[in-house]
Amino acid sequence: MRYIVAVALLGATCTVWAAVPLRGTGAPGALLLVVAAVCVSAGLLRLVRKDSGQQERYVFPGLFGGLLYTANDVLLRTGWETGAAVSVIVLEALHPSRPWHTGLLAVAVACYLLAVHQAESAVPAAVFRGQSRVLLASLVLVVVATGVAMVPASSTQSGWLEILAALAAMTAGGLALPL
Amino acid sequence: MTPAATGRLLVNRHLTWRISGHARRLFYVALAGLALAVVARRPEFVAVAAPALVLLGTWRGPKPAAVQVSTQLSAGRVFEGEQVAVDVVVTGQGDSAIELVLHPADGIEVVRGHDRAATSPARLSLAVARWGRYWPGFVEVVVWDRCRLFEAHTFVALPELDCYPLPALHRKAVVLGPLASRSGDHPARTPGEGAEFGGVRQYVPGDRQRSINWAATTRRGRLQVNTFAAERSEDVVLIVDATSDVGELGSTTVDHALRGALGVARTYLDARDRVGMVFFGERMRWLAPGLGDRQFFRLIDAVLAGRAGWSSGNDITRLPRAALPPGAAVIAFSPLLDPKFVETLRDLRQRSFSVTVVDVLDITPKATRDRLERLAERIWRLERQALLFSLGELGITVVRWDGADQLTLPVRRRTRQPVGIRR
Repeated sequence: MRYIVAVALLGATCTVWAAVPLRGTGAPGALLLVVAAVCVSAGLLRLVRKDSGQQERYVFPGLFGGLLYTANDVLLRTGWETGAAVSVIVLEALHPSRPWHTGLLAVAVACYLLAVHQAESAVPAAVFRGQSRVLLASLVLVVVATGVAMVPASSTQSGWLEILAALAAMTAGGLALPL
Repeated sequence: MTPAATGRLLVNRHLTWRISGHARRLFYVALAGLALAVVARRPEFVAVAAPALVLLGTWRGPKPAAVQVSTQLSAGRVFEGEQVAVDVVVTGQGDSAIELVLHPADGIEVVRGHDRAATSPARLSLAVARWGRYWPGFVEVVVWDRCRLFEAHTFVALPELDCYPLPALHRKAVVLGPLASRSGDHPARTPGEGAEFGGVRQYVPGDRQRSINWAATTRRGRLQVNTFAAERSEDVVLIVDATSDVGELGSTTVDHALRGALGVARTYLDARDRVGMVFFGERMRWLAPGLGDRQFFRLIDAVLAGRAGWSSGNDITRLPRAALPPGAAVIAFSPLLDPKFVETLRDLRQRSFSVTVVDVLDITPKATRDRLERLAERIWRLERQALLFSLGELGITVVRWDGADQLTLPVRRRTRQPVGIRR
């Protein structure tokens, strides 16, 4: 249950962090905020339902019962967390460039996905110790990519060089990892 | 599947690995981050993709090709409501993480908090609510690679489990008919070597010195000895009427009948009586009276074996002589809904058996506002009263039992007190 609480907190944090300030993003921003909120809530509901076990089903449930079963199936089978993460990232992209803000969002989204996975399974969190190097390297790369983005760009090649530099740093970091 | 000597089932399972939902989510986040970085020319979104890409980069970690799973139930036979522990041991997974999930079959309930585990060996728990012979379900073993990008699922069936009806609480063995000549626990009307005090009489040569009553001897001036009642056993035949099964699952009339019958059987077997059972259902089956714990479990096994097909009555109304020893006390558990069974009871009484009926029907037709339905319900009640009256006229005692109370209470008034012994 505590992992579900963690998922709720991280999901809400990511959504709010990516949405603030909402002014200037227009209608797409509001739409993405709604989508992200719905996805986070539905993902939470899915985890809670999964935790509460399988419910008894009737052979002839009736119209209302059939609709309930269909809604339940949709709830359990849809990748709500993927939708939440992607919509949060796109919502962040609607804002003007703010690298440090995006960097923190990257960390929060990664934590959200790990928490979701943790809440889905009964595997204890100690298993993440085996991934500590990988997670640490991820954090370093987030910092590097964010730092690269904060370097003032040249006027003509705006953005491309920084992207390539960030990708190169990530590739180098990935290759250097003792996996 | 290799059944070991201890009842442990050991299976070897080959694993088929597939991409996990976690990896899928990481992939989409990485894709979104990189796409936004390229489309919007904003390098900070590479940072969003970075953790996901690094985690996805570990996809070539070691993955075991097979695991060995061993399962064992803590008990193969339980009573209703008892819990069973399932010990699961997984070997051969190496560094991979495992998760065990218990999937119960119909009629089996998992114990909250004990239906999942992430260690090996692990102990999961399940509970059985209703009697029967069950295949309790299966254990799902999920194996994850080191970074949980790939997962493999395998399923292992659990061994068969027998759930016995919980015997009703019944403490008083009632003497309903003539006692046999075998020694037992019931005080008989004849003198003997039991523990029940019978009276005092004058000493005759051959009497044991230890039975001399010195107080009476002093008072009367002649040697007086104590006498005791003999202790005899009884033959009891329990009839379970399974021709009608009404009520909610778990508290149907057949459930009540079986629980009551086993409670009574337990009491009489403890009193060293011989107990037999007749199953009056689609097919009539019986177990000849027997003694001891072995007979109790034989009765239960017969109950479990005969569960299927108890839905309609048979055409036999006369119970065979082999199932009924002469002078046996007959205790029938029935909702008294089947006319053929009522005919059987009448036949038993005409054959001079002492018959007691425990009426296990604890539901009645629901009264509605419809006039015809109310009339039908009233007629049903009147017919029922007439039936009970006619059975009473034949000398058949009918007591009601709803399955919840102690069975001693309705049967107590049939208890026969020992009488003084005269010589």
